[in-house]
Amino acid sequence: MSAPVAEGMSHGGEDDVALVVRTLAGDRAAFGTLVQRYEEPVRRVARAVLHDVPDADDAAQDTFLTALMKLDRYDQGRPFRPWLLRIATNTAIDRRRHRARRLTAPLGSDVSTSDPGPDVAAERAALQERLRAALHELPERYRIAIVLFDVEGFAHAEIAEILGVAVGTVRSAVFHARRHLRELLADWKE
Amino acid sequence: MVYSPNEFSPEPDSHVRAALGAALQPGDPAGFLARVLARVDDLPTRAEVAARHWSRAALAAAAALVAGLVTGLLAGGTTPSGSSVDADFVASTTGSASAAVFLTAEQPPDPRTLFTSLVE
Repeated sequence: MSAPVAEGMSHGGEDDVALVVRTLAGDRAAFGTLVQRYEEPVRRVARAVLHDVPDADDAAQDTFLTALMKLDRYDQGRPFRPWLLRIATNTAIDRRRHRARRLTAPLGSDVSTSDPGPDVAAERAALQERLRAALHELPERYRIAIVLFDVEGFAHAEIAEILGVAVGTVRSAVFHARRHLRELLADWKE
Repeated sequence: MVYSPNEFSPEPDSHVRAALGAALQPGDPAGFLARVLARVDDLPTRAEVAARHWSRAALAAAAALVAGLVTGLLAGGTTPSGSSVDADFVASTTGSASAAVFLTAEQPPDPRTLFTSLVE
């Protein structure tokens, strides 16, 4: 996993607003750069909401297309990443709510590893599978909050804005999510 | 490898980040980008979106107009028949019940009966 992107700047160094302006002018490459820059957090958040990997990736694609359609309504004076992840969160939640329950595909076939030895890789894969299962036992708000806070590095206030809830609600959700995960993984052995 | 998040930490937990981030880590970024860009080509243009909006508005207006007309016709059809009122009016005005029947009948009189009565 790459480090969280510094706000508005990464990879090629061109800031988000410049890319947004170029995208609005019809520059397809600029939009592609935005997709490359934010595909990881968007797909992770979608996976936090939707257990099914293909479904989550479809939601992530929908997120970028929705963002493109609404780009002229984006306030260029505000950070782009929370705006985009708010769309991602809402898109994934809407998708989950509107889809009939169905069997979930096994996760992790495309999970990247950094070429460890076979024992370490197996252990890591087992922990990841266990974590994914534990994560999806949490209430949706807890899942999103812990991913946005601990994985994506958003502040509580930013998460509150993304989710449209009070800051205290976010703090509480992160607290309970961590505690639940710890309890769910209490019997985990190395 | 240990996974033990500290729920009391006010800062993002690096262990949670590493473990959960890896668990949710997507793959094939190039393939994802290609799929998104392919779908961009299928997006409607702004003109198409506007046209759809206007056509929806036009359809809604037409539907409202038809509904209004149908409602009006139905309402008109359910009003009390004018014959009884008219018959009373004609009868009271002319003092002739047969004139009222003749003038307020829904069907025109049979010509044979009319002319026969004249000839006779």
